[in-house]
Amino acid sequence: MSKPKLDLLATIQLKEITGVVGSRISKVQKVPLDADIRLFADGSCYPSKALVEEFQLEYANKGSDAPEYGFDIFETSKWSMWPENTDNFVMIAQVSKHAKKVDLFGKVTYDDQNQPRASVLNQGAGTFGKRLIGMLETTYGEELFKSGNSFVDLIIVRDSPISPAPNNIYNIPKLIVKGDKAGTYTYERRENLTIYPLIIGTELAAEAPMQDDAVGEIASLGTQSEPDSGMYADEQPLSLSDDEQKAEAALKEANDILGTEGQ
Amino acid sequence: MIEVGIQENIKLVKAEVKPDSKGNSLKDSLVIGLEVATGSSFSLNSLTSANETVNDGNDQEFYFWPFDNKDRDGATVPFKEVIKRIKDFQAQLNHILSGYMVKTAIEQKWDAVLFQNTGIVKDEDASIKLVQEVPLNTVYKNLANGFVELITPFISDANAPLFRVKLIRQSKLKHFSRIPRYAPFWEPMSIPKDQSKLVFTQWEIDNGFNDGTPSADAPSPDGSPDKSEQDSIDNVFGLNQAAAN
Repeated sequence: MSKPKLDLLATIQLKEITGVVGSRISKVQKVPLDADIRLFADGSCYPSKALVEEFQLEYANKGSDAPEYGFDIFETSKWSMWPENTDNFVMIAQVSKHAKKVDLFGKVTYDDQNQPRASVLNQGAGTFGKRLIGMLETTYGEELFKSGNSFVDLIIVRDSPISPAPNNIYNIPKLIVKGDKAGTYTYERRENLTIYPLIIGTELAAEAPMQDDAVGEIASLGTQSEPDSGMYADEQPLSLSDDEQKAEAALKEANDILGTEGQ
Repeated sequence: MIEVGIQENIKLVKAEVKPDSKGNSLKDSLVIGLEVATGSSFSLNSLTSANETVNDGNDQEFYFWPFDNKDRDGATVPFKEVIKRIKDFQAQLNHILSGYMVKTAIEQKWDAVLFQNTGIVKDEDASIKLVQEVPLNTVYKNLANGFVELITPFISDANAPLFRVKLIRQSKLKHFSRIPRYAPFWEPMSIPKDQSKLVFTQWEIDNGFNDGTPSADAPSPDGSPDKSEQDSIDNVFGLNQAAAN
């Protein structure tokens, strides 16, 4: 998979979804080919196959010692380690699925043979995805689905990880979703993370109808129901909220501060 | 004095294994000192089991008392209880250390030193040796010395993080603060207050451990903690582990 670069962002035109051609209902390809995560309007999220391999996201059998990871995803605006007066981002970091409160691709159910009931490629993971939409819209100032598009693609900016904290300890903000404190934040302590910006990077080709071989490939991966594909609706172009220079400058500034001040 | 409550901007300024005043090396104790970063300096006393705080003028120290293999009646403490005391102590130290370093660094240290000089081989049945005074307190000293070795570089580091610390009342009689036995009681100040996990449990509130008001019968604050106090507070907390959690 080609690595997304920030300098691509200036040239990317986010896709507007136009109407259905004739009466044909196009089946949307859920697993992205040229992006990392495809986020649908209903909150369902699908990683690319390359992402699954790169970050070892696939679920192993219950009790297996095989490494398996998910993602922490959070807004720097809720992160106390992020320098003040710095542009905010949505950040993403690989964490063990066995850690507490993994945001994305962290949980699956198992059958009576202790095998996962779904592949991470077709699980959907809609619960967190609904929050992710809010995070992205708030942070980047874009309403993601205002034009009726069914999804946006997200890119992990691997070229711009933030500088590691001096002690490699990170306290990651976590939204409390249940109970008396629902809606407030707590944190989870993590170690040795590599934290990348997660940006909106839908490309024009991203919402192409699913190719037959891709349909078959995905269908063979699991049995869990997928979110509604939906028709193509009116398409309006989305634009990036931050240009390349602004994003790079903000990340550099944050890295400079994180690298010298620690916690 | 650092009062009972959830206190902020605390810095660890001292960690040492203090020789027993009577020269019994089996009773040497881990001591840590804390300081409020705004300028006031404190040391605090605590017990491993009781975390007793004793005011010693402007200096207070937290003592982590060595393990005792006998109960108040002189009977040998059951192996299960011995293990619990070791684990509780280790968990306290881990909780403090985890504010400074990754867990693998801590685990490596424990792997290297925990049973050093005890004659106990890792994974062997230690139920006979560990209930004996010498091996048991050697384990204590191994943990205490290991903690001091790990934490010392951060004590002199001007950029070491500051912490928010939950301190609870010593006992119904003594209003001085002490470190709780159970986590969480220690978190970096980089965590916003509204995300903090440090709270008094309902049990602590119901039993007045969040209240630093002096008792009418309060003892002199500069009295050294003694064994009877340790046992007394052991009972208060040792029998209420679930509630204290």
